Amino acid sequence: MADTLAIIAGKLSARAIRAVGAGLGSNLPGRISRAISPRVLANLARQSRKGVLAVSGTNGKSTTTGLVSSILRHAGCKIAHNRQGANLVTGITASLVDSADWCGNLDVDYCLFEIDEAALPIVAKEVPISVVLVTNLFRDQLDRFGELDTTALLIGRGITCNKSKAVLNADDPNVAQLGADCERLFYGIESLSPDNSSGSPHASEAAETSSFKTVQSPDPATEASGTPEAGVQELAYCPTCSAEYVYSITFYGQLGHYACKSCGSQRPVPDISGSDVHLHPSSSTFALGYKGKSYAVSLPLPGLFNVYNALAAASLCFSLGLSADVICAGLTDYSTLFGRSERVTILERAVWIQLIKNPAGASQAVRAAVRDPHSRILIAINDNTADGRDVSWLWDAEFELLRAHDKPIIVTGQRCYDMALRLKYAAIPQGNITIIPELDRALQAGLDTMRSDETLWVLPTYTCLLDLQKITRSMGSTLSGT
Amino acid sequence: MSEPLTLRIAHLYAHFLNIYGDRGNLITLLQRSAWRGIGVTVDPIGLNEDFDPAMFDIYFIGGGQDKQQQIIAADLNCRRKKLHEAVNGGSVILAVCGGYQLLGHYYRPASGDELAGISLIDAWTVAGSRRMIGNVVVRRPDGSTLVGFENHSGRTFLGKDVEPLGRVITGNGNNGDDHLEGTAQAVGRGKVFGTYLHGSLLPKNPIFADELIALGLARRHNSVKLPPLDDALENEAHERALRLRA
Ligand SMILES: [Zn+2]
Repeated sequence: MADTLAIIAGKLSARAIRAVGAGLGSNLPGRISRAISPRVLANLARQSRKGVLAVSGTNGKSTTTGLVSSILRHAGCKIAHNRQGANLVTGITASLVDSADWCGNLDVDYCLFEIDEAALPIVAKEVPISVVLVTNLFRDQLDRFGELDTTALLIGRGITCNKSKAVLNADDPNVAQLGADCERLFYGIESLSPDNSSGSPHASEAAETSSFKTVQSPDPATEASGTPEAGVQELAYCPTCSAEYVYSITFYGQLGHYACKSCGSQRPVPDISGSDVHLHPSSSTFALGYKGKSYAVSLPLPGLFNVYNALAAASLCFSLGLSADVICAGLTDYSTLFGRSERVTILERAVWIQLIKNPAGASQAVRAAVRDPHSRILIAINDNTADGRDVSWLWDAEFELLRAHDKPIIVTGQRCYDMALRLKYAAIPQGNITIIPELDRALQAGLDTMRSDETLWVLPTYTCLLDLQKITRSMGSTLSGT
Repeated sequence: MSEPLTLRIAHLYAHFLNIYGDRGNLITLLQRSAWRGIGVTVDPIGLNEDFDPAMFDIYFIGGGQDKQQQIIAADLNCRRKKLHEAVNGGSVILAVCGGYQLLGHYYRPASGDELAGISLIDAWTVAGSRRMIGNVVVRRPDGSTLVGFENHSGRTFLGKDVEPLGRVITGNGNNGDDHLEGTAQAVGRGKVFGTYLHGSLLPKNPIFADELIALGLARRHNSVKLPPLDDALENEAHERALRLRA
């Protein structure tokens, strides 16, 4: 009975909030429902016919969850999933309350949750999760948890508490060590096509350039800050013996093919693999390998990070027993929802929005933007709590890549001067750095200066993204899909 | 007659202690030297890697996570003699956060064994119960300001003859109690700078960055005067950071 009341109260408050137009991801309805019935989340989730699926990790949660939901819809499954950004226990509760009928019945095959790393063990304690997918563990939340190790610990606890099946990124040593006592399925990238420059096949070279290797500066403007990859290669350590992993291939951050020279532990052989990866300005193709067979995937998303997201989504769906045909169709038909990685049309101009929040993700977004020969670039940096109040991560991202982009770059947001300074020290000519602190004016300037055949790449931190959604809505944006 | 200026920088434990945008400090030293035509090199020095204490003008040691501190502390103690020798001979050390803590006598964690520092400065650090996170503004003895971001739970205390880097105007600094932040201590012919500020520290504090460059150059060059750079953007970013809430 308490549940019915909780659901009614939750639904009513959600309507009230929508009516007054409060922002996205409000946690209030979930909080109200949980206050009335603490078991409401468990009781609703239990009704899913085939189970509860969780997607966690630092980068790519939203896109991966979106890809999984696209595949599940292709498979004819009914799903309930949480709204983007609402990935704490209250937001997840609110999403189920929203999906349930007024009597508290939830008619779905799967509950699919994007879950914040810290919230995973909390949700897992209430809800038996069948499969936990972990995308990657980059350091971006040091000011939240203090340490990356703490985050890994929280996720590990979330997996083992229900003995969930774990779908893990084999290429990320921080992730591959998780859930050792559970059933595990690994995915990873075996090879890029030779025409992509982002992978470094030379182990020793990659390891040596991980700091500035004796940088001489005869030509200050171009040479002084070392190789672009310099600060971004992350070091990783063997969980067994604490020795530094040695890489035979590095993709980005700490992702790659690694092995411990002292105890022999190494990257697990992926059950699901990506190979022959081709990256294009607004799409990618790769060969998806599973159980000895290979399937051609064409993905309507740019950037190596999105190939990882697609592999992750495919792996989760393989673990549910779905067919390769359904999986490939779901990936190909994916259309971006309003969120962290999406294409919109504003005033008849093409705009690509890609959330950035940490060095690895930002470097990948910049790399993708620079690869597009018709790109214009706008970077929006705020320092609210949801963005991370410490903007020092900007210095660890590869903004040096923008030297190849010889057009003006607009910087905006509360910390636009920090961003401008970052570009100056990346040897971007100051004449190409346009500072416009107000986001709406910056966006307008970006749209005004671009040609009709160009795409404006907007790279915002989280609260800039929320502001952008409001601004673009008032400008009459339309989703163009991809 | 004047030889071209060169600056040699060593980046200790680049692999381990490279979080919180430490790279920004090195990029700043590199660019501000290069823009003035100074030939500058940065050499990473890893664990167990030998180095010549007479070689480098500036040593940079960054911040790390707790787990890495033990490995670093052990290695640093093996080089204790060489680092003392280098600083006494005129080298400059800039150590941030975890690196700063290990320049004192010890780091005492909440539980477990004490980590021995290298006693380059008369200071010690004790684990605190609260993490000090936020924007910081420091006033230096010469009246100039430093802006940055701190994120630490260790509380560092300076011996009575040790010069702090400055006094905290916003934020916590060394320990949250005595309003002191960092250290700027002359040791022999050299100088040791330690600080909890990252964010990155040097890009938004060009005066301090140039002070380090000038001190570094002075080890092997006579009467160096750095020509000024156009710091309009640096100064604007600095001014804005002064107004950030803690
Ligand atoms: Zn090992």
